[in-house]
Amino acid sequence: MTRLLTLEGVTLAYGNVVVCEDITFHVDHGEVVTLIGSNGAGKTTTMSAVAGLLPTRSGRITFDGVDITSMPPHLRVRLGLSLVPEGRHVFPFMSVRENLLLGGFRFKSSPKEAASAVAEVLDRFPALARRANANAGTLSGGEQQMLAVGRATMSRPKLICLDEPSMGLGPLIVAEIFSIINEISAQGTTVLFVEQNAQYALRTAHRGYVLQTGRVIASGTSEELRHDQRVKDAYLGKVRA
Amino acid sequence: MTLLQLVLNGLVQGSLYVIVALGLTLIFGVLVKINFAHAEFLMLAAFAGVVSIDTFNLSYGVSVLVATLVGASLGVAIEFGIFRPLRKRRTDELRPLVATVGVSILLQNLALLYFGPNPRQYQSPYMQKTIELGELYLSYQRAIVFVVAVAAICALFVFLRRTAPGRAMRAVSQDSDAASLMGINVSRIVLMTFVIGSALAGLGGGLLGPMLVIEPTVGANIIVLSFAIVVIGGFGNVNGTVIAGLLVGIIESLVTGYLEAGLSSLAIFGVLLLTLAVRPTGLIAERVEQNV
Repeated sequence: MTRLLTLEGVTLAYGNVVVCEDITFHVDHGEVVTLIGSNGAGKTTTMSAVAGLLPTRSGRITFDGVDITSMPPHLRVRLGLSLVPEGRHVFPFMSVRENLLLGGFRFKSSPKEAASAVAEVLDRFPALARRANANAGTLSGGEQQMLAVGRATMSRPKLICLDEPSMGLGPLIVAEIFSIINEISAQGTTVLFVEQNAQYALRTAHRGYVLQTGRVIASGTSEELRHDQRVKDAYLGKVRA
Repeated sequence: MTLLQLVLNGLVQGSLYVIVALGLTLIFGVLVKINFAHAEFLMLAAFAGVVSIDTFNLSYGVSVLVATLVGASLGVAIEFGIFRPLRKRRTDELRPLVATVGVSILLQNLALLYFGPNPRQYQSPYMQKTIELGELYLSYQRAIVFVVAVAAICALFVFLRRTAPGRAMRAVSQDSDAASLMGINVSRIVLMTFVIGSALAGLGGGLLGPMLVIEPTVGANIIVLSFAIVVIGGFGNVNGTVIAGLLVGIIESLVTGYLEAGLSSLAIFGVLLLTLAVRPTGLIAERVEQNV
């Protein structure tokens, strides 16, 4: 298998406050990889840096053989890297359809092609199809999450990154979101996702990395991590919080 | 004058205010920043129109085009000269605002230096001819102004609603980080916003010019009204700006017709205060609260 995404010794900071230090991990083509860890471990910060929303203080990020360390976010999207951000960030005053159209912005496709790409996503998400002309801000949390995922797939990414896709959602919706992640992976897209719920995460992912206070403290296959004492600690850490 | 005549006059005047205020609204919507030099863009564009007629013997129509281009160029200049460098340095929110106040003062005084304090006349051959529609009278100039203003507003709406760059502009105004995750080059959208917004100020200068005396402070009065319109319409909201602009034009015309011209500002700012008291978000609230 070949590397799709690698982070080597990446340090991230907000102003002078270093949040992540010496983060090193990789995602191979076709994998489903998870970053787990308790609240404040630096998972979202890491994802922001992967997408280019946060500048990298030091270290190197490469994607599909290209050094993207200081590449702005919109160019990373054009290389095939797509992030579903934490908190979904749908465009609240635009319809579901328009949100999806924006997801395919990078293709500069004709209105006809764009409409058929939107129809494809709406086919896959019947819940969204029913609300296609409603403003995204009026959707429920679960619908918004599906929209955010559907929107990200519109750019036909090689790697789709999901930041806390289960946040604030009920168990049924969470199960549905994870089955969507499996489906996306089955269709050949590589997946990297961040999750607080380690049980769910390790059931879905092939491999995982455990973050604690801005460092990678453990890594391995999901099977290995499930039995790792430090993972149990990180998971328990979440319960205590 | 009849009520209908006053409303018609108000609509014409209001459509112009809409053009100028929409420029401010677009820039505020996308950047959440105010360009205080917007008024001076209008003023310089009007002077450019005057010069292109007086010095270069161009037709009125071409002079409006020149005014629009001057506005657009000033938009490019202020983005590259002020807003982009300050964004790159990640300075606080207030600095660009204060910088544009500086640009405004600078441009006014440069105009004073170059064109002198004596008012100039923006010649238009359409000022004297009048159209009669039954009981209603409208000068050709006002008819042209209205048609062009409405066409520009419609074009802007089609652009924002139906085209990919327009949709991208709305996306940036609602959530610029999310927009960049869609592959949208946010910097380029901001530049585009300045070009369109400032071109509208220029167009406003070219259309309104013949009805005013052109002097270095000509932008100031109009811009104060435009700010009122932007606030009444719900800061950064395009639909609200159109409604508020027409409303302000009609109020001004009715107060001037039935009461006294001097009272129109009082009435408009009364409406502004009332809006702030009753509906602080403006007629139409469509700005995103910070998502955490």
